[in-house]
Amino acid sequence: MSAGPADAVAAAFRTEWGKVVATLIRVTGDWDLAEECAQEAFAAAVRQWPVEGVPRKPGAWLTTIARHRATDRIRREVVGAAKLREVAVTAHEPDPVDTAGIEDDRLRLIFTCCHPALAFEAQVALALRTLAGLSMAEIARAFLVPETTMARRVGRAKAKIRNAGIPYRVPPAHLLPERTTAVLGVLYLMFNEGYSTPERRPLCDEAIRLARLLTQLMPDEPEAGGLLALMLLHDSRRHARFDEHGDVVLLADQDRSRWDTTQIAEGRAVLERVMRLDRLGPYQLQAAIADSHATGSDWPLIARLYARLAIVVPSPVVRLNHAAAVAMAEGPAAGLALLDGMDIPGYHLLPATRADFLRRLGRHAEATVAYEQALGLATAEADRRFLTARLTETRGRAMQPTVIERGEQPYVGIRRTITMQTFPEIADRMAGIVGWLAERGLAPAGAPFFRYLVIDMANELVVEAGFPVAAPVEGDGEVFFGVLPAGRYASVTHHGHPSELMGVTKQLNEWADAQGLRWDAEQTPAGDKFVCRLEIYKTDPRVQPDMSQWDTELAFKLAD
Amino acid sequence: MQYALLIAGDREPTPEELAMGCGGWSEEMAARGVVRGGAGLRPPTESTTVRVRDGEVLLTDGPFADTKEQIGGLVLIECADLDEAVEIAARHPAAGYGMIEIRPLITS
Repeated sequence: MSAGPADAVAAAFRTEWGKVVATLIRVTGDWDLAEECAQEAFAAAVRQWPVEGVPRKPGAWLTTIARHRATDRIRREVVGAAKLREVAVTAHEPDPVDTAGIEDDRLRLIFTCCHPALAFEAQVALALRTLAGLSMAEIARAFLVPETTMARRVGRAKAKIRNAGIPYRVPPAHLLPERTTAVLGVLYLMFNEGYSTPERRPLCDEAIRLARLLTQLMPDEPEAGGLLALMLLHDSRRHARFDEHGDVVLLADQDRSRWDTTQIAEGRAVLERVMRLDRLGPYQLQAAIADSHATGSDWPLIARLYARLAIVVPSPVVRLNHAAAVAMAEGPAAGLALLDGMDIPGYHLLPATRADFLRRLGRHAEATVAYEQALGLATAEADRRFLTARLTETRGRAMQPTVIERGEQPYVGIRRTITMQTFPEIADRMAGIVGWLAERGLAPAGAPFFRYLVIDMANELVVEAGFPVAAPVEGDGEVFFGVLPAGRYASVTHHGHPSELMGVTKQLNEWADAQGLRWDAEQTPAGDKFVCRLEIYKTDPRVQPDMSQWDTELAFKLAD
Repeated sequence: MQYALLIAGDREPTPEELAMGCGGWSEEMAARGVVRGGAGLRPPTESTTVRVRDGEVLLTDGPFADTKEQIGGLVLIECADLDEAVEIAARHPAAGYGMIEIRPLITS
């Protein structure tokens, strides 16, 4: 069965709408008129093509009809109002039997829609309406706003183009690089809007369609092809990214049979073509990374690509991804080292990545704290479910004692000999140490701790209250400087009220006995002397005043 | 197209910035033939706001907008389009420490 005239009109709408509108805007200088006349031309096609047959050049036919409508409308309006400028322009236009120049019109239209003097949502909406032919209702749905809101936004943008003198053109050479970057940025943001929210997926399809068009119109611009390849390669995984509950499925766990192989092939072909132009840019690098993921993730290669990307795009998010790739290529310790000193305010993936590295290193107690931070920042439901599951799992592991390596830790502290009844004499000194540090312009470099040197529960204990510091500092008065010794420690983290620590200590002792581990300690007449026995208060009471939610780590040094 | 460039800052210019003035911008733009008028303004502490309500003239000390950014001067220009207006505004020294709003003029 051959395609009928109705199919021909539908096909022409997809391929020709943008061309007709783009040309009509150039001819009339009036965006609303251009759209209305394009609509009338398609309505004429619906009526005439079944009767007269489908024209040999549907695009030229539609453009001619639309231009005649525009000329009629302007002539009619001239009677009442002056629209002489447009008529003058139209009168001097050659008849568009030839399609030369029409591609330039669409390029003009893309650059004008994506003019940086327009707001991002207006840029996207204008491009979707004029180039892709989406209805106002469809655009409104994609942005999850009422249709009237979107219509107002688009109306304002068109008025600004007209009244503020935003030129309808491809920018001159000296502006072209930055403006091309802006256009690619709009398409990528449009894609990400659709990619992050499944209900807004049509935005992905349209971004890919517009990028494909841009790649045809600017074949020598390698980043346009790079962006198209990047979007195709990401989008190829759309069916595997979420499970049946709508939860995120990590790349490594995705069902590869559900990836779209046609899209992967197209993306890879586009990428290979533009990489031959030998002008690498951020989109091509990201596409190359996505391409490696599509073939089983060559992590050393991906780490190198991210390192190059971090030079072109000096952003902390890129550095975070670089660290994640290095962790896969060389192990979590190498990745963790790259995260040192990194801060991306409000970005949950930084603590989530740190948590993942710590978890893989078996440092469950620290991983728990990092997962809690990530959960405090994540907003998307699927992300929160994933982090909650990981937190529960890690917390469970953290309750299990483990043997860890601790490096030397410089600290400042105060020492007291007390009994269990006079424990507050040392506990209450914590704030004093912070004040002592502050007077010297220093801040604690980690969570505070009690260090038990001698324990005779029935009589006296020798206990220090201390704070880690980043570098040695001169002791003064009752505050002294010391170093916690490096070595193997048995560690367990308690999530709950610190008053429950007695029970946790008992369990840790029993566990060590069962493992055949011995504390680095000796029995003396004064009591048991420990080389390093720590009770570390991981939770900041200003952040979590509820003591039943605190995390406290016990870390006892083991005999060598 | 005609535009007003409204030059504003959230602080007084430093003595060096004042000494630099428009840094040759006015001369350059006059030579290019795009300037149609303009003026520098005394600080908003010396301004007076007038309203007439029910036939009564009401005066207030100070500018009408109580914002941090205050207009320090304006220039009227005529040029091809917004891209050229942006290029002209971006070359004004005040764009480097304050900001410049480009407003199209109402034309009949």
